[in-house]
Amino acid sequence: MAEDDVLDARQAAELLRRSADHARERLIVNQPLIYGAWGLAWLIGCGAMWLSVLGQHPFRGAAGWASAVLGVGIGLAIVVTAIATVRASSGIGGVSARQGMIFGLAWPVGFAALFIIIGAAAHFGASAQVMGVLGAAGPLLLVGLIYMVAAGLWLDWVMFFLGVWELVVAAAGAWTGPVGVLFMDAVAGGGGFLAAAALLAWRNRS
Amino acid sequence: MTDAELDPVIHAPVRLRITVTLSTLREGDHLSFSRLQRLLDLTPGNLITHLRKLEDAGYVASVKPSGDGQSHTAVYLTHAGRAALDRYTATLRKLLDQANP
Repeated sequence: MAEDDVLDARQAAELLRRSADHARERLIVNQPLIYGAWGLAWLIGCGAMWLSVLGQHPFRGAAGWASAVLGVGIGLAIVVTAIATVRASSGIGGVSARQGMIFGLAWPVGFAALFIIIGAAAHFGASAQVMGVLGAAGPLLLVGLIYMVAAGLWLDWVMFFLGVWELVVAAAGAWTGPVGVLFMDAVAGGGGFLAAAALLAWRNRS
Repeated sequence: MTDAELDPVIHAPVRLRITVTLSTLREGDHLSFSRLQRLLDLTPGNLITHLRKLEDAGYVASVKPSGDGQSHTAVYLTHAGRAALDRYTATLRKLLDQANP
């Protein structure tokens, strides 16, 4: 279609629909992709950790190979999140950019503080069991809280309920002990992310 | 009702695409000229011409993020621009409903 062509109403409606789809696809962060990546990281990573501690008497903690699987999963999920976010938001300035920067900073700062606190617990003599519970429930507590509050920035109800769900899983998981909490992290924690991803993908279908 | 009732500022292919693209942004956000140009696959000259018409109508405004030169100009849809697009969409819907009752 040449740029100076006169549009009739039907062509205009079609162009409007296509432009809107194109703009949304490029300018809005692919949230289902991000939730999906984190869901798989939790499911596979914590699943590996759980398998490695299954049947330990007494509980000693996860094997190195399982921690490595979790580490790789988290690393990949961070890469997916960064690429999806930068790709969508490049060139967008203003309020969203500042909100996004604050939201982005909450993660490394929050997790640094959490791991320093868990380190302090070990330093002051926490048992392997306590360390197992803190190490598995703590991160999920942080994830749930950050999502719950961040949902207020964008009035995003899926994010809000995902946050609430992860808090419930963290709290309930802690009471299942150092082995059970890893299973809860993997299945209920990772499952929450995957359910949110599926819900959003279904809602965005054209 | 006829096509003549459609806002002529928006009712042109390039300006319709610019307006719809900018309406995707959240209120309070702006989009860099260069990203908009890449998204719409237009030459700078062509984009500037149509942006000027939208600016003259008060539908689009521009900001220069501090310290940056001309190349970093960013644009956004004004309240008037969002309202005009809503009216345009509503008129379009009525026209189509008349055509296919």
